[in-house]
Amino acid sequence: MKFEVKNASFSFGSEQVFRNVSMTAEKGRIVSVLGPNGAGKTTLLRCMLGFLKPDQGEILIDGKPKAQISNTEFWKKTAYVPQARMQSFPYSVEETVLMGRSPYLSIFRMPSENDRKIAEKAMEMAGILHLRNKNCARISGGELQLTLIARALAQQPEMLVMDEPETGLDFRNQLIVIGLIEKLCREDGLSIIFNTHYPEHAFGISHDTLLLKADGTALFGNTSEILTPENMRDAFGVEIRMVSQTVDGRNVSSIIPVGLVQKEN
Amino acid sequence: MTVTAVLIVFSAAAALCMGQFRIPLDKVIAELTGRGSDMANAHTVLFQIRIPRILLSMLAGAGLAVSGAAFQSLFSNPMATPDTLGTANGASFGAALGILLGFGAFRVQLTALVFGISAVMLVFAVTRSASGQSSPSMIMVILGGMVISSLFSALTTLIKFVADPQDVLPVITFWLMGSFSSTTQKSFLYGSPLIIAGTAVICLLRYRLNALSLSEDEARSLGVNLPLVRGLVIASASAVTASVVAMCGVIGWVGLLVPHIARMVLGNDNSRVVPASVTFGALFMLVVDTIARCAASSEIPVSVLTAVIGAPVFILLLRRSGGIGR
Repeated sequence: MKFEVKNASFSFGSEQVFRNVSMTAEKGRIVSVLGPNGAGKTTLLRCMLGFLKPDQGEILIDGKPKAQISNTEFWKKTAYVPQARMQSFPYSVEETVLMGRSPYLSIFRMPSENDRKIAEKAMEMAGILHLRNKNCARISGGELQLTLIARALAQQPEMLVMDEPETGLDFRNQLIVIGLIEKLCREDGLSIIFNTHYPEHAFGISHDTLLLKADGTALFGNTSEILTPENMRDAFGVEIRMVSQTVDGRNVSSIIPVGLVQKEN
Repeated sequence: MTVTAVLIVFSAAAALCMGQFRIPLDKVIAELTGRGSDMANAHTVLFQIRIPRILLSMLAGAGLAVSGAAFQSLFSNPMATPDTLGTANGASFGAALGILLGFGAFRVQLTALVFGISAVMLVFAVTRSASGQSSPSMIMVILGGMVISSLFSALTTLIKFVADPQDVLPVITFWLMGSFSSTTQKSFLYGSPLIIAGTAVICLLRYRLNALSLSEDEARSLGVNLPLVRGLVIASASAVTASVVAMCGVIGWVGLLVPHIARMVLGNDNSRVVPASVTFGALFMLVVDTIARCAASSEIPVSVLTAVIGAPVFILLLRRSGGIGR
């Protein structure tokens, strides 16, 4: 599935959040979305998914305007992974993952045995099968995030859209989530768009990057071409040094924020 | 579930025997199986009074409990009750108005029903015009419900204020406390279809209630048709609540308490909570109403008993489960 945003602009009332943003998520590729707080990362994601309507511009799915695709069709192809938050009525992990089958069920239907098998497979893919009977209120933040990813996988989508999937997790859990995203793309051929506050993660796994700037404009292209110290200085207002080292034959890039950009005059 | 069913049958049998006019169990069975008994008035008491009343109390309990469960999921809020959108206060006002105007029992019930339904429609009219959008946010709807609810409650107070304190005011006051005593075959036949229909729709929607209880974006991303499902839930729960209040007055606690009891026993999955609310609600209301009419020489208001019996049961369960299902 190919997901395109063409010249999208969005404002809350008179306040413009972003303008003329374009990007493409090709099949089997990972796109990271970076930008400072308030640059509209989450707003853009919500526009892509149809939760908000952009003022201008188009969202195209395989070249077809999103408006022409029914909601149920869309949510069978695209799954959304929200930031992990406590549920008001905490369900068990298995019940939560099973809800991913909802787009396939007509309004009065209950999930079938087959839906349960698919949910089980999704839990296995996310590595949380051993938690299936636990209550979501009694698992860690990392486990809850993996549960939400499993729920999205139960939708059997071609594309995952994730809102800061590793925010609020410790180092180890961040690497688990990032590793899972990379594996889902490489082994299962999923396309993935994810928002992140961590340039390292974008460097680590994404093919393409959309960098949103505080002034509402954006840059899009290959991750290595977009995430240069100059561009990041421009977007975040922070002086950056980049350090690359080879660990076990793998190139690991780190970004060191060295200080705020001093305003001229 | 089987245990609850057995308990319901057992309690219903006891309820048929008990009351100011005692009928031994063998006579009840003889009457029910159509063989008739030699006991004077037994047939009339059973078929004209007790059976409609027992059926209505069970229906009301089941309906209120299911509506409560549905509203709690709809608003993602454990404190939501079937009255959240002003239905109960609207219906109370209708009934008080009917009594003030000197209507007969049946027309009072009809007025209550009409005002109960209008209250919810008014909530939607208010929130729609206020937000200027086609689908108002749930917070707006809750606030709208509170506003309309207090408006009708104020109007009810106004009616009580102008009502004759000698004869009309006590009738209104007693009616508002809730009672199944005015149940007749006729009111049962007119009131029950809405309760049954509303309860049935919510039962059919039970799996959707899980996704509905998540955040709005999440519910949408699971393919839930929000306007449709929300509309169905609100229409069904309001129809149930308005009918119950119209026939039996205001019965608090059941809609809040019974779904939570179901959750504490079975977990939060609505595909189990909703059917359990039906049976627990029916059993609870049946037991409470039987006590209400048998415990003292005159009837005890049902809403007093639901709280007096409900609160300790609820606290006990809360302490045992820690508040979270399983």
